[in-house]
Amino acid sequence: MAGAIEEGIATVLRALPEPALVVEPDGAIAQANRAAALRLGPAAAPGGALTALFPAEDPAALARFLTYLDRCAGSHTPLPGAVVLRCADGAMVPFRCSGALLLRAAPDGTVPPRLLLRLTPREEDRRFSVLARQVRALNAEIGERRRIQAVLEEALREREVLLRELHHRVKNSLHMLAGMLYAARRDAASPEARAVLDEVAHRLAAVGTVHQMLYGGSGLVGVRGDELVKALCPTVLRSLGADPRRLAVEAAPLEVPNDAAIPLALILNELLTNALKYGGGPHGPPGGVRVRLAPFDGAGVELAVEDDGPGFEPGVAAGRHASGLGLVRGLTRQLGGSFVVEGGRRGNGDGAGSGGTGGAGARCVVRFGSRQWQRAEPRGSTMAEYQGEGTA
Amino acid sequence: MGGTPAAPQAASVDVPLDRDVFLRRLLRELAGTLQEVVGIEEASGYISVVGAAIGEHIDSAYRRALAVERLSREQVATVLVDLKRRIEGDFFVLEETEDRIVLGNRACPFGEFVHGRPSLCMMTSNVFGHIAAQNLGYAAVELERTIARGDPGCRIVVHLRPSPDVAPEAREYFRRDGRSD
Repeated sequence: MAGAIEEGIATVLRALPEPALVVEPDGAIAQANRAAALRLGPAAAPGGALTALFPAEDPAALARFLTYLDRCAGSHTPLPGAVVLRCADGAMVPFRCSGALLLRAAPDGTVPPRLLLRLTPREEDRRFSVLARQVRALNAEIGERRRIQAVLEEALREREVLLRELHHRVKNSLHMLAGMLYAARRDAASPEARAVLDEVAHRLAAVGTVHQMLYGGSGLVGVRGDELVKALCPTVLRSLGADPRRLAVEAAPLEVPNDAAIPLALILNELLTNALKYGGGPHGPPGGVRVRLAPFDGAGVELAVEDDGPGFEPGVAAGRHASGLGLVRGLTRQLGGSFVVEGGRRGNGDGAGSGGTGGAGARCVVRFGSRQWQRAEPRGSTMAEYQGEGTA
Repeated sequence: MGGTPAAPQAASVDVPLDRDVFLRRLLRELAGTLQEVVGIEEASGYISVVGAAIGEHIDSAYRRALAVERLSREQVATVLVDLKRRIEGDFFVLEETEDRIVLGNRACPFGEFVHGRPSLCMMTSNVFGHIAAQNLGYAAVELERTIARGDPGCRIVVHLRPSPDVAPEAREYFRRDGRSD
């Protein structure tokens, strides 16, 4: 009967892949499987003692292990433990172990209890420590990347501050230049010279308005078209001494890229100046001049300045009027757009697209279809209404 | 002069912290960490090692104090209740026969810190199991109901004879005559 039990235990031991032994509470080895023999060497053979595998210089370790075996002898439920044993190659190897009572002691005390002791080399722990090291390395890398990100964000903030400062200084310089031109105008003897200096000063003011919006806005990549129109129109009205009620503005919240903002401002300045000067005069009827900025053909934009004046033929416009139109054409080409002069709303429309207005008001239209105009986030209504006197 | 009241001092404010609370909370967190990292089964194994050691100490302390080589069954039942009383548990004997001792409990020594920490019940299992087995030869401890698992009270059955009727989840303990007594 006892032999059958021993044989059964030996069969189970052979089935275990890890080193496994049947031992007595004092460490005497009753059985060991092949894995134990290979790992621990001849000392782990039946008849040997686990105590021989402990370092002589550490008797406390052996005492702790024997206490552990004694506790394992108290229950069939495995108890976890740890032990360092000398292996077949002489190396001291740490094992995790699991020990449980296998066979109780004989009632007469002639046969001590037998324990099943399973040993697991702690390579798994080492693998875990490798993973832990990798996690620490990844954490360090994340920390480094966060530091770099913080530095980059700080650099970006500094760059934005510098860019705003640059726009601010450009705007101040332009205002200073405009002031010099106004001073020169006062000293100019001929009306022609004064008119030229006026025009140049107004154009500089228009460019300055854009720079002011760039350094004062939330972004540095462009300006809102409706805000640009609302900022520029009062400036033109004031420069000409025009009645603010002359002007009606309708502008959509379009995003105007940086490189298009200044040409667009100059175009608006020229067309509005011409309309106020030649389209019924600065003090004509209220609403006689109309500015409209609107989306065009999907991604494009259309700027129209219309008056109820006598109209004109672009081909025969002369003097300063012709000079301003020439600037508009040049800037429109620069932006890849088109410029046409159509009949105003007072006309019969025969002149639309023909390049002339036939004396029934004029509607100057620039269209840009090829640029990447993007609509800005709407603020309130999609079309900002503006009456000149309200924001002058 | 109506000045603003003085800010309370840290030493005088009512904070639920003393050594006992601190140690119980520490054990709760330690057991919780073990349960999360290695699972309840393996955590219970680690707590069992501690419980076995504590059981040895308590058993030998009572036997020395009562001046007996082995405790009788009645003494074992009394000791199990008394040791819990000393650590502020509220155990009581529901049934005591040759075959088993059944105990109830209204208060866990770990207090509310035991909720969700069933691995800590291995302390009771191992201490009861060791004392009963060491003195009576055999014990199988069955934790039928436990506060840790959410029951309002505990019901612990200590079987004193091997039997097919013992629940599979009961932990068996045997007398050992080793070095750790």
